[in-house]
Amino acid sequence: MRFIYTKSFAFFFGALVLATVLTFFHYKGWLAIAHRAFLQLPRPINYVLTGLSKPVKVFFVNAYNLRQIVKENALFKEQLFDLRNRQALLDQVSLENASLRKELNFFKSSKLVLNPCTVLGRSSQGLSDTVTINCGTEVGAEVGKAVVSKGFLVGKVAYAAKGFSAVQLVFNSGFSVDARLSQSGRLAIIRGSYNSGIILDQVAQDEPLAKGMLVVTAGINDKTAKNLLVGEVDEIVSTPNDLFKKASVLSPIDFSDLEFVFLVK
Amino acid sequence: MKYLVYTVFILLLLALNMQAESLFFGSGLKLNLLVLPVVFAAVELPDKTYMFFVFVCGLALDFYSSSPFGSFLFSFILVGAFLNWIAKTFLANELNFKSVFVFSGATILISGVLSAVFAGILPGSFPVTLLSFKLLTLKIFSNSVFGLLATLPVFVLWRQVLRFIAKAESKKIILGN
Repeated sequence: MRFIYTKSFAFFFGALVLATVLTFFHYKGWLAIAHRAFLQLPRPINYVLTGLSKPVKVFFVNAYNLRQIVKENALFKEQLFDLRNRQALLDQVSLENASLRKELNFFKSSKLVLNPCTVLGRSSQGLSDTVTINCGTEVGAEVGKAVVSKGFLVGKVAYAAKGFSAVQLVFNSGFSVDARLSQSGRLAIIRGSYNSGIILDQVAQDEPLAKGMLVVTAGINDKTAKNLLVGEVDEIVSTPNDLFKKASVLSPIDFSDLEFVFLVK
Repeated sequence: MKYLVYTVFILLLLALNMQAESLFFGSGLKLNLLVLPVVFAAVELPDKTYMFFVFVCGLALDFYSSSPFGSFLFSFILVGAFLNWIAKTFLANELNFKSVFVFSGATILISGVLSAVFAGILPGSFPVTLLSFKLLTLKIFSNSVFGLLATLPVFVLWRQVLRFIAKAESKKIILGN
C-alpha cells in the first residue's frame, strides 16, 4: 500500500495543514489571545525558579569573583569621592544655568516620560537576542523606541503589538543606534557585537578616545530619545591605520537578569 | 488528566529554558529543552499523543522566540513524524539510554537547522537579523552540546511523569471498579 494512502500520512498531512492555518491566524492577529496566555502561563513557575536559584547563584558568583569584587570596591570608593566633587560643581553650574535660562526665556527641555514594563520572557534560542515585555501599543510602544533599565539603554523596540512588544537587545549583532561621547559631544555609532558586547564605531581618528569616557544616545533618530546612557568606553579595538576608531563599551546591566525595564515614550 | 500533567511538564521545561542563562551563573547558556519531550513522546508513546507535544512545544517556542511564527512548529512536526515512523519501523524494545542520547542529539541538531531554514522561508512579522552561516553553525552546534547534556535529567523527569500518569490511571481504574 502506498505511503500517501496510509493513516499515518493522513495524520501527518493534517498536522501540517493545521500548522499552516495557525500560522495564517497568527499573521492575521487572531492568535493574540493564545499568544498572551502562553506568555503569562509560565510566570508563576519562573517566579519560583528565580527565587530558588538567585541565592545560590549570588553565593557562587560572589565566591568566584571575590578578588575582583574587592578591587572594584576600592575603585568605586575612589570614583564616588570624585563624583561627589563633580556633583557639587554641577549643582553650581545648573543653578547658574537655570537663572540664565530664566533671564533669556528659554524653554526648558522636557524630561523623559518613562513607562514601567515587566520582562515576560526572552528568546530561548538567541537567534536574535530579544526579550518580550508587557508594554504594547496601548501604552505608546513603537518600533524604534528605546528601553532602559537603571538609567542605561537596554535595547530598542523591534516589534509592538497590543499587550506586548519585542525588544532587540543592545548587544544583538543587528542592533545599532546613533551615539555621542558625552565629554566631547562628537558623534559615533553604537553597534551590537554577537553576544560579546557593545562596540562604539565611526569615531574620527583625530578624536580623543579613552577608557572611562561615557557614551550616550545622540537622538538623531526621532524615535530613540537622546542622552540615554549606553555605557563607558572600555578598550580601544581599532589600530591607528584604520579609517575610524573603534572601542568596546561596557554596560553595567546584567542582561541575563532583566526583570523590570522602562519604555522611553 | 494526562494532558494536564503533560502541559505542566512542558511549562516547567519552558520556565527552565528561559531561566537557564541566569541559573548557570550568566554563562550565556542557551538551551532548547522543549525539543526533548517531542523526541521522547514520538519514540516512546504508542499512539498519536506525540502530536500534542509537537503543537504545544512548537507554539511555545514560536511565541517566545523572535523568529517568524511557525519556524519551530513546522520543524517539530517534520522531526516528530519522522522519529515516530523510525520508532514504529525499527525499534522493537523499550528505549535505553544510548538510543535516547542518539535520538536526542540528532533531533536537536536537525531541529536547529530546520528551524533556521523555516525562519528564512516564512514571512516575518518584524525584521529578524539572521546570523552569518559561520555564526549560525557555531550557535546550533553549541546549543546541541548543551542540549545533549540536559537530555539525561529531562529523560529522568519524563519517566517520572509517565510513572505518575500510570499510577493515577491505575488508581482511577481501581476506584472505578
